Amino acid sequence: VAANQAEERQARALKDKALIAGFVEGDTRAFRSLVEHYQRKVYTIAHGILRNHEDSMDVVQDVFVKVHRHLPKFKGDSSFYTWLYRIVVNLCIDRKRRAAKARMVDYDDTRAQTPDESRGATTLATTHLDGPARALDRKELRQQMNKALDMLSDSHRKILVLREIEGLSYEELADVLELAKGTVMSRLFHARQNFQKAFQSAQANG
Amino acid sequence: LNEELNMNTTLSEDFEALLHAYVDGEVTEAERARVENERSANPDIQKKIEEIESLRVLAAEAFSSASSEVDLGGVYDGIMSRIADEDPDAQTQDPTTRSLIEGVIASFKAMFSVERPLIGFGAAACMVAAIALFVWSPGQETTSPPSSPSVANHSPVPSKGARRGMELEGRLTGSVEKLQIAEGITRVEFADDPDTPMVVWHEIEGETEDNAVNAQPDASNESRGL
Repeated sequence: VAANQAEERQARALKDKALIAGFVEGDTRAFRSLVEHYQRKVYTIAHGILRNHEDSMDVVQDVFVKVHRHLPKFKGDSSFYTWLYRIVVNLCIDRKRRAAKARMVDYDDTRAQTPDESRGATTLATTHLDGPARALDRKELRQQMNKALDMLSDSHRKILVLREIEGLSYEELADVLELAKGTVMSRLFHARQNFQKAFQSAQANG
Repeated sequence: LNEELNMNTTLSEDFEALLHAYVDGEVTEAERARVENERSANPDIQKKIEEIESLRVLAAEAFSSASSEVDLGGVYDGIMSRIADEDPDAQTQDPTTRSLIEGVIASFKAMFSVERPLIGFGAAACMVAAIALFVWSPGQETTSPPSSPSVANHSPVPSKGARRGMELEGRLTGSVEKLQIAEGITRVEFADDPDTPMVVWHEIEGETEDNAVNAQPDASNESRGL
């Protein structure tokens, strides 16, 4: 799966390069293609971080307005999508800062696990994903997943959405999130653990 | 449950993080070998790997479920509208439209350029013929109201008038600024360059001075006809 994702990303990077060249030469259809290909991805990342539809839609527009303005200066040192996702993440952070909204729960990367938490986390996949996930009402499951995402910290949601939805490699995550590669590995591990705990908590609270 | 507890007590955090990296395909060959050795020796590690895989699916589902049904149909237009508002000089015009307009302009430029005089004269002749047909409309009933100062209503020879003979002088480089008919001659001036106005002479047989005066078009006719 990882190999396929890497191949797809490579093919996409080549296509993006051609579209960017077209845009720089004055073909606005190229920009339209970029928008249409990436708008849902941008929305998903923005929503993954902001957890709010209106704010996420605003970010989608902000992102592409910014891309339109700066694309002629894009040097291509990194791939377009990592550049794009960095803009998304930064705009989301700016928006969160401006809004100064209190986060619901902030799980720190270094927070120690208690034995109870470990036990719950370990049993989650087999207890709640394989069998009952199919049996659960879809809507209820979605609500629980949303609750679980709401309970995560911004930094954990960011890394999770970029990894699980966009399939970014650790190196790309380090680039987009401006982290050391070792930190990426550690943060992703903790983000998944906390998501697992949060999901279990959401299920327990109905 | 005890097994799971035992598994967690025996798995260090670093090794668990390594298992995540293994599932993500982000380990070195040495790390891969280490995980696979442990995996074959300890069935709990296999369970843990399956759990991580399930967790990844759940997380992906959690994120994508919120966005999969969102209507993003108007996003592009909204973006272009904002770009146009923020920077009117920005390149926002659809190239299909732009290329059509630019294509027409380019074609006219090419037709009337000095490098291609024959085509230029041919095109000029066609243009003058079209103008003359509109101005004179010989032998045709007009649908304009009688009170209208339309050139067609003042056709000098309504039933017998014939357009014959055409002489061109100069070249066409711009739009028609003035149309004047006098002494059997239709004079069309092109206002591209005020110092050297482009002139096309078009002789109409049967033209009379009176008719020519009557046939003077007013500005509204001129703009409408051209």
